[in-house]
Amino acid sequence: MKVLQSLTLQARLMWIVLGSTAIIGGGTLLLVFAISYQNKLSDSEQHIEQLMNAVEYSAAIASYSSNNEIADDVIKGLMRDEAVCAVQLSSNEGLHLSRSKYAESPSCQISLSHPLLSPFSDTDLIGTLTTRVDNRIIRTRALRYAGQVALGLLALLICPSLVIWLAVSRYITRPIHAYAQQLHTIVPGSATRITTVPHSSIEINRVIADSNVLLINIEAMLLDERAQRSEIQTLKEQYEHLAHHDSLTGLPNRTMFNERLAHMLVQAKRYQLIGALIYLDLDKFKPVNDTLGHDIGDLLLTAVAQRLLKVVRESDTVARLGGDEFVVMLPALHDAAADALAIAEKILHALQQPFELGAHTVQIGSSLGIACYPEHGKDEFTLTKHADLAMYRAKQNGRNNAQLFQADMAAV
Amino acid sequence: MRTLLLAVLLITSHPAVADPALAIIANHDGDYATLTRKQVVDIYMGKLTVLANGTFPQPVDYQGNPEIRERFYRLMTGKTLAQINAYWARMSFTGQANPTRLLPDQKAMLRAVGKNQDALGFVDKGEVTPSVKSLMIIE
Repeated sequence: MKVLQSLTLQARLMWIVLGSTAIIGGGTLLLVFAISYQNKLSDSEQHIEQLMNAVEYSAAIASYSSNNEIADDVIKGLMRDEAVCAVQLSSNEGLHLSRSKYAESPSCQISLSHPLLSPFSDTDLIGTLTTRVDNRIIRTRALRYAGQVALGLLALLICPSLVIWLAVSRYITRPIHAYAQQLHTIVPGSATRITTVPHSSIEINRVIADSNVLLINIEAMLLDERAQRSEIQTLKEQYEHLAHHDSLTGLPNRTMFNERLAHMLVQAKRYQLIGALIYLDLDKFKPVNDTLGHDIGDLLLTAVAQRLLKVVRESDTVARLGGDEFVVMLPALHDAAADALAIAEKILHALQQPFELGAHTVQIGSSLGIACYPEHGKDEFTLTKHADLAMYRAKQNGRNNAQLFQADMAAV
Repeated sequence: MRTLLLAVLLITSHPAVADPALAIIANHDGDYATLTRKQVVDIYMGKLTVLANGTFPQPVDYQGNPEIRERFYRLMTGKTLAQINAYWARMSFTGQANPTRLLPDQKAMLRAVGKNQDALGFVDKGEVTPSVKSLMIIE
C-alpha cells in the first residue's frame, strides 16, 4: 500500500485494476478452465458410451448370429469418432472382430466394455463390445474446449476493466493530472490562469473555475499590495529627502551635514586622512532681502548654492545651515590648509560676481572660516566651533575674505 | 387421487391373461431328445443350423402374421412379431435369409411335420395330434 501511495493517480489506478483483474480473474480463470476441462473430458467419454449404447443392439445381433457384416458396420460406426482408436466385438461362440486405427498407440488407455445380451433373451450373455479410447485425443479436445472457454472469459474479464480504466483515466485522472500540472507551474500573482482540461467533468470544471477565482483574487491582492508598497517607498524617500535637505536650494541641511561630518571623521580617523571645513556667511544678504523682497532673497540663495556646487569637487559636500549660512566640507585633502584656502579663494571669487536675479542685478560677498582636521580639531564639535570662529574673524576683518583658524581665536 | 392410484395399480399389476399354451412338435423319427428351449429359439432365429448329433433342423413357421405366431415369439423370446421381423430384415441385408418354411395354418403344420423327419413346428397345445411328437409345452 505504501508503494501505491508514491505513485500517480493514473499509475495507482492502473495497478489496482490490473492487480484485481489478475488475482480475481486468474483464480476464476483457473477454476473455469479446470471445470471445463473435466466436464469436456467426461463428456467425451459419455459421448462414446452413448455411441456404444446406440449400436449395442446391432452388436448383439451380430454377435448372436455371428454376422460379420453387421459386426463390421458396428465397428465402422464406432471408429468414426476420432477418439476411438480400437474396437473389438467378440461373441462367446467364436466371432471375434476387431479393428484399430493406431495399432498399439500408448495413449489408447481408456477401455470401455459393454456386455452383450442375446437379442432374444435378457439373461443370456453372448459377447462383449470393447472400445478403446485415445486418451490423448480426448485430452486435446478437452484442452481446446477449456482453452476457448477460458479465452472467452478472459476477454469478458479484461474488456470491462479496460473500459473502466480507460474511462476513469480519460475523464478523471488525466484531467486532474493536467489541472495539477497547470496549477503547479503558476506563479502566484501572475496573470496566468488554468485553462479547461480536455474531457473534464462538471466537478473538475468547477474546481478549475474556483481555482481561477482564487488566482484572480490573489493577483489583485498582490498588485494592490505592491502598489501600496511602492507608494510607501516613494513617501519614505520624499520624507527622507525633506528631512535631510534644504527645501529651497536642494542642498543637504544641517542634519545631513552633521551625519556626513560624523561619517567623514570616522573615515578620516580610520584611514588617517586629512580634511577641512569652510564656514561661509553671505555679506550684505540682509539688505537684499529687505529691499528687494524675500522672493529675490530666495532666488539669490539658490543661485549661491549653484555657484558653490560648481567650484567644489564631486566628493565635497555643500550644505545650507540656515539663513545665509553655508558650509563646505572637504574630505581627503593633501595639504589641508593650502588646499582649503585655494578652494576658499575660488568661492570668494565666484560669489563676488554679480547675480542676475530677474530684473535686478545684485552684488554680494562672503566671509569664510576654515578649520582643518585633525590640525584644528578632531571631533565635530571642536571642528565646527573653530570654523565658525574663523568665519567670525573674517567678518571682523571687513568681510569678503577667508580666514584659517588660529589658536588665538579660541581664546576670545 | 386414491381412485386414480387404484386404477394405475390395477392396470400395471393386472395378472397376465394366461396365453393359451403352445406345443413344440417334431416328427416321430426326429432326433430331438435333448433339444432345449434355447436351442428352439436359436433354430428359429437362424443361429443354430446343425445340431451336435448331425441333424439339420428344419423349422416351420406360419405365413402372414397370425396370432399363434405372435404368441410363439412372445413366449419364446419376449419380443413382438414386429421386432422379430425387424431382426430378419436386418439379417436379409447382409444376405442371411430366413430359412424357415412358411405354412398357412396349423393343419398344414401338423401335416408337414408328420411328413418331414427333421421338421420342427409349433401348434396350440390342444391341436397336437398323434401324427407328431410333442417336444415341450411352452406357456
